[in-house]
Amino acid sequence: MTDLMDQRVQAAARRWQAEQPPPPPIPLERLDETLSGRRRGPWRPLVAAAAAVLVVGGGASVIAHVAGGSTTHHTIGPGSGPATHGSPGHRVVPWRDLAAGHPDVRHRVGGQVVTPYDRVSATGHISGHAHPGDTVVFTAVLESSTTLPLDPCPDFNIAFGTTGHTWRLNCAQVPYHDARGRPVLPAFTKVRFEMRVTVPDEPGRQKVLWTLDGPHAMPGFYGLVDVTRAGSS
Amino acid sequence: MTERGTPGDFARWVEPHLTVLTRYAARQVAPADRDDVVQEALIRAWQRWSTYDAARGTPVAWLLGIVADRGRRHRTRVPAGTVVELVDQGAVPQAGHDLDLERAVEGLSRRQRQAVDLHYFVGLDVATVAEVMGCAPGTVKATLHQARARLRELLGDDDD
Repeated sequence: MTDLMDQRVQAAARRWQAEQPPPPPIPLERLDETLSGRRRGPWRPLVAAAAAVLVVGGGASVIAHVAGGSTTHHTIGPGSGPATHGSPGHRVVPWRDLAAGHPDVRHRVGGQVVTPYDRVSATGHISGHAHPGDTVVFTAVLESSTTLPLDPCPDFNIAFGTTGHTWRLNCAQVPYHDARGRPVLPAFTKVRFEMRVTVPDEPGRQKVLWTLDGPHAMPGFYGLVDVTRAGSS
Repeated sequence: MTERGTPGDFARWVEPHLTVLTRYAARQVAPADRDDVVQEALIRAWQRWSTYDAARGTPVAWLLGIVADRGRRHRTRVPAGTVVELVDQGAVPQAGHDLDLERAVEGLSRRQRQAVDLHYFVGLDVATVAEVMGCAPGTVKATLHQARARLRELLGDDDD
């Protein structure tokens, strides 16, 4: 006897399979990583907390300002690199001070201006206290709903108070590549980029806005940093 | 027991199963978490690779067991309300999507859902599903039969 339900489930399953994004790459660079199976706290808030890091003074210590207001002190020793900070288990593409390339990413589709980044989300967490001249370090997390070649490599802006600057993303060190060897944002995979910006001499609560650079509303996020001159409370 | 090889050996060993592992992860967690679960499972599999015993099961069943474990841990450690899914504003259900059926599958019992996921959506044969579920192939066939009957019930489709 023909089981119509069997056929119906098979058809639905075939459609579902056809729509699945390709598998992620085998994480060869992470194979010896310690997994956090017995992690006590939730994963995502930890990401958010770790993403807000202010480097103070000469870099002798790092103060992590957790969203809830508690503060944790860590000491970083000689040779501590920025490339592996952030949430456990997630490599962060290291910061590079790269001049903006100003690629033209606009296309016109049916009279609308679109860019390859219209299906990209950008998230991050920025908060804390800093002095003018300090370097604020944070993480920008990009995620695309389709696998997106970073070719040309996009620029991004960081506006700190009234001061803004544009850089090129460090695409060369993104750990994902397509068959043509181009760096990509794989579908539904969070790719983390270390960001650095020098605190301008603008005391007060300042908005720090991160956006991909483009012709119109581009993905981005912002946070607030309290800037105080050294010696003032 | 397997002699632990190089990461390259491991990659070649898991590569043929990557699609199946990814599909199973996709059946267990939100789309945005799928790749995290697969990659964590691969890291765990590498670390336990030397304990894999071919006499006790196929590689794909062993790997799927690890994916199931990582998926379970992932679901329990993400508190409700903290996951923000990336919503594709331009996406609309495509023609031909059997949304009623997809919803009905969610109404199956845990074992029925697991059998349906593994057999239909992941694409495994009954023998491999039995290995993953730790039961006899006949039990899987019976569970699938019950699942289809339950789906007919849930969909109000009792006439075939």
